Amino acid sequence: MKLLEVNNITKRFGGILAVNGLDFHLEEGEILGLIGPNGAGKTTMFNMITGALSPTQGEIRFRGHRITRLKTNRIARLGAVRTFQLTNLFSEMTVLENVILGTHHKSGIGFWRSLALTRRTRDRETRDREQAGKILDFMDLSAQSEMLAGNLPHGQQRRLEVSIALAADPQLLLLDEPLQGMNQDEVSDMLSRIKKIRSSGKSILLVEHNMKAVTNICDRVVVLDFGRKLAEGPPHTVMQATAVIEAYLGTEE
Amino acid sequence: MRDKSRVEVIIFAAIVILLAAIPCVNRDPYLLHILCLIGINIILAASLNAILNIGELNLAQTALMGVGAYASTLLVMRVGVSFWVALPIACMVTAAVSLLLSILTLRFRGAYFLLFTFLFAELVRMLLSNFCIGIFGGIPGLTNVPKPRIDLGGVLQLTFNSKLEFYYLVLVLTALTVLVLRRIDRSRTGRILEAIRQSDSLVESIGISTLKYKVIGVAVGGAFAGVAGSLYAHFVGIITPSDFSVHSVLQPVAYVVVGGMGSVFGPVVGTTFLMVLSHFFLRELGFYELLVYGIIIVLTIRFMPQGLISGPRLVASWIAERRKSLNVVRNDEAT
Repeated sequence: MKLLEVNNITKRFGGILAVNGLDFHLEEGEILGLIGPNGAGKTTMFNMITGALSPTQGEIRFRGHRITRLKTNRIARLGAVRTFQLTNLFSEMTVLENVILGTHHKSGIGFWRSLALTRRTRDRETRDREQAGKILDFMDLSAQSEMLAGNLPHGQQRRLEVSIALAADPQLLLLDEPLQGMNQDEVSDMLSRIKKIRSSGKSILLVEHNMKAVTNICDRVVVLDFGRKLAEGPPHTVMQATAVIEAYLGTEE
Repeated sequence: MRDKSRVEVIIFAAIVILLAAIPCVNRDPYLLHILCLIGINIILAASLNAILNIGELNLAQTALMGVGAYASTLLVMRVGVSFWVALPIACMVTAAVSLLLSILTLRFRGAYFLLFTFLFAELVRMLLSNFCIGIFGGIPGLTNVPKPRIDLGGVLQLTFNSKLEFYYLVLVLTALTVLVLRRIDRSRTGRILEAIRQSDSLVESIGISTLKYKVIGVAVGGAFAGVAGSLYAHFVGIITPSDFSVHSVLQPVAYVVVGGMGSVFGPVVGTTFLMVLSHFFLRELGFYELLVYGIIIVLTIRFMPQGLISGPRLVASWIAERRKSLNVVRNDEAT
C-alpha cells in the first residue's frame, strides 16, 4: 500500500525552481532514500512533506489524507514525524523528559487535565514515563536517562532525537541527514538501529549524503538533481546509471 | 526531586504564616500599605513570568491589568455587583481579552510580538482615555472605587476599609496565585511551555500545537494580571488610564529579571527585594534614590544573571569549587 504519495510537486522561490514537477511514493514498511547533490531540492522536498513549507503546485498525500496545507503538528499527529538536520533537542531537560514530551500528543493530557491533582492525571503521566522508558531501552539510552540532553556526546544526542520522534509513535519516520557529523562506529550503530526501527513496523524516509549508508539500508532510492527526478529504483542499479554518476561527478571531457 | 518540592512547600507555608502574624506585632498602616502593594505587584510580576517562560515579552501586561481593574471597578460601580463577583469576572474578562490579543499576535515572534503588544497597550490606554467617557471616566479615570465588603446578615459583617483587613485579602490571593502558577509550572503544560522556549520547532514536530500552548500561556498570564488589576483598583481607590500605560510594564519586568525567570518564586523574590529596597531603605537617599535603585538592578543582573533566586545555588557551587581546589593543593603537597 502506498503510505506517502507525492504528486507533481513544484516549489518556486521567486525565480528559482527548487522542486520541479516531482512524483514519487513510499510503500508501507519500506526504507526510501531521497538523495542528490547539494542544492538538488532534497531539503525543500522534505520540508514540504513535513509541513514546514507549502508547495507552489501539486499535492502530497499521507495515508490517503491530503496533507499539503496542514501544519507540522497536524501531520505529526497523523503519523509522519520528522527529525532535524541540525541537532534539535530540549537541551536543558533530562533525556527522559525529552522523550516523555514526545509521547505527549497521545497521552490524552490536555490543559485542564494537566492541572488536576487527580489519580487519572498521575496514571497517564506514569504511563507516558513507562512508554518513554521502553523507547530509551530500545535505543540503548536508559543509562543516560537522568542526564541533561545538552551534555550528551554528539552520537547519543542524535540517537535521542530519533527516540523523541519514535515516542510520538509515527507510522512514517522522516530522517533528515541522521548520520551528519558521526564517526564510522556511530554511523554503523545508527544504521543498524534504523533497520531495527523498520522491523518494528515503521516506514522510513531518509534524506542522506552518505552514499555507502544509503546503498546499505535503503530498499529504493529517488535521486534528485536541479529539482527533478533523475532516477528511481533499488540503490545498486541506480548508482550505476550514467545520469546519476554525471550529476555527482560531472562528465568526462 | 520529591523531597525538594516538599521543602519548597514547607518554606512557602512558613513564610505565609509569618506574614499572617506580622499585624500582631506591628500595625503601622504605612507598613501594611506597602506590603499590600508588594502582594499586588507579586501577582502582576508572576503573571508576566508565565509568558516570559515561552521566551516572549508581553508589553501589554499592565494594560491587561488595567483591563482587569476597569472591568472590576465598572462592575461594582456601574452594574452594582459585589466585589466578590466582580473579581472572578474581571479575571475572566482579562483572560478573554488576552486570548484575543494572543491569537492576533502570537503568529509573530520576538521583536514583532513585542511591537504588537506595545500597540495593544497604547490602544487600551487611548480607548480608556478618549472613548465612552461617561463610562470609563476619561483621562481622570475613576475615583472612589468602593472597598470590598462581606455582609452575611447577623453572622458576619466585614468591611475592608482598613489596611489590616485588606492586607489579609491580598495575602490570601497572592498565596493562591503563587500556588496555582507553581502547579502550572510543574504540570505537563508547564513542561511544554518550557520546551517551546528551548525549541519550538521540535515541539511542533512531535505533534503539539505551539500556537495553542502559547495562547494558553498568554491567557493564564492575562487572568492573573486581571486579578492584580481588580485588587489594585479596590485597594488604591483611584484608577486612571495612565496607571496602566506601556511605561508601567517596566517595573514588573525589572522584578522578574532581578528575581529570576523560569520559576514562580523568582518574581516573588524579585518584587519583594526591589520594593522593600525602594520603600524602606532608599527613601532616605531622596534625590539619589532612583540612581542607587538602577545601580542595584544593574549589579544584580551583572553578577547573578539567573536572578536572586539562583543565589543559594551560586554559593553552593562556589563552596564546592573552593573545596575542590583546596583538595588539589593538599594532594600536591602530599606528593
